[in-house]
Amino acid sequence: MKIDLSMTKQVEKLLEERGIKKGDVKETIEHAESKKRKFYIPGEKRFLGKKKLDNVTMNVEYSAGKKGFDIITAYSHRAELLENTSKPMVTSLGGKADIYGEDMDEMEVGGTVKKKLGIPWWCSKCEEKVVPANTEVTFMDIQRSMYTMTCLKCGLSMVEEQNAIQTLAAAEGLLEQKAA
Amino acid sequence: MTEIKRHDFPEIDSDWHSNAAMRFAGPFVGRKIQRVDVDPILLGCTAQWTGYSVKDFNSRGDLAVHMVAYCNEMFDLLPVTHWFYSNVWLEELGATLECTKMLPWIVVGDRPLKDADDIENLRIPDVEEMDKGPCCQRHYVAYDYEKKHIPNMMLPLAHMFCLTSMAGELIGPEKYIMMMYRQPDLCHKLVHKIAMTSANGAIAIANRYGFCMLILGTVLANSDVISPKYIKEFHIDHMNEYTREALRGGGGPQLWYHNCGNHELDYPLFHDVYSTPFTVLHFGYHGEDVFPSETYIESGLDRKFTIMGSVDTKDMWHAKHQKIRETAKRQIENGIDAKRGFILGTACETPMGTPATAVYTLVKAAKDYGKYE
Repeated sequence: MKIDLSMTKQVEKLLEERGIKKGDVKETIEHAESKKRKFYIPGEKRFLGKKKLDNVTMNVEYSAGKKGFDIITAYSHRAELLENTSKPMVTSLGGKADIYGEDMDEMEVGGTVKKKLGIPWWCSKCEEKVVPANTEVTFMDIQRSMYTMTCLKCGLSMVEEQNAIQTLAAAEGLLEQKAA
Repeated sequence: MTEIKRHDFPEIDSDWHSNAAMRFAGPFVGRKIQRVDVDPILLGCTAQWTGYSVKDFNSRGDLAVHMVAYCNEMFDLLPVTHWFYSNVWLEELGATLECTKMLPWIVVGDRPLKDADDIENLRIPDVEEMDKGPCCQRHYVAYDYEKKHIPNMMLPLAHMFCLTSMAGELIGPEKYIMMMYRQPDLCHKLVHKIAMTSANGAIAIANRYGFCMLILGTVLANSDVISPKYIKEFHIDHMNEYTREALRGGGGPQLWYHNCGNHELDYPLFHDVYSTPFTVLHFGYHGEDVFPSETYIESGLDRKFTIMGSVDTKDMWHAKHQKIRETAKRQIENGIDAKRGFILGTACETPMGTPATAVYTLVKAAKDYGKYE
């Protein structure tokens, strides 16, 4: 599969700062596209794919352009998500028990306040809404639980960008320190 | 901000600190190191043991964190210090707080919210406003001091005391509880605004220090006051909203769910809260007794969180040494095999006026019954 990438100077700089190689980005997109291991936002041609590359999991958010793939962002984490261990979080907002994320993007509370719990992604393979869940993660043989975005049908789980580069990165650092 | 000079405490013993740090790490890295760790949540009580007043503790975060740090060393507790109080983030939403001779920052004067219009018009301050607000500034005094003078024990915290209690403080607890039944939409709106304000406060702290432990309290939202259905809808769900927003903004990675009061009916709701690799779950009471360690394990909560067993704070205050020892023994024996680790604590903060011997007894029980093979 031929993967042509395009990105703004700003994204290129971000990738450089994060030590992410273009080859890894290509590999992740190729994997996401060929295996349908990706999330998408309906009507936006916008995707989030992931692939495990050696010791890191690479996530790439991209859109399908006319001449290839436009990279929106890319990030990685070293902790490994144990897919199919995810447990969805249940909400009762609006008076009905439901899983967080279902219809939450459109849900209004009190007529005007938009809830922010919703995740905009859908699973490409299953056509299911992606929901917040707690998923087991392992790092340095230590297994703990972590908030993720998950397709409950196929188990595909990903970490949101901010959580990967801040929460999980800090946790990885602390685990390294503490384990030492 | 003017520089704060170091207070008159000796240097923290580095050997003690390395040892305590190793032990503290145990539950989070899946290792059983030395013995069960103890956190009696020392706050204002440290003032009486270090020669200061309670008001000194509550009004001077810089001094308070050093009091706690030194007492933690004295009792062989945690290698980190802390300072927090209940009524956080309320001034930014219109409340007036006052630190009295004996009480920490309490709400004084009229309730800032009186009716539906006030809730509708309540503005969520952004991160920059929160950063400059009184709550952050008060905490910065403590954390800047830690950073400069006791960096090994530094742990910036963002405390979200209890969404239900905070809403109660703003509009009046009786009015707020009635709102849950009569005007649920309005109630959601208010709690949402408090949650987002608190999240912006946590993000401001994380921006300044690079991280901050999130303390999530569930206090008035307990089984004696509100049914689990309502705790879920009006408290837990918005607490999750807060956590997600705060984590997205750089808060964490440590989370501490600190749930004082009776949680005998609502504790299963905590299967549906956010977790990170460093999450501690703590309940105070189950009915009239302390929350039993075995209930965490039987309900599977120990497979997700590091759990914290409780000893009754009334027994600490009354210095019932035998009872403290017996409860600690029972909690340790039933909790020591928790999947993600066990910490021994007290049901809530060790009350002011607690004799030091009560803390000594608690730690001694951990040394005697909580040794790892």
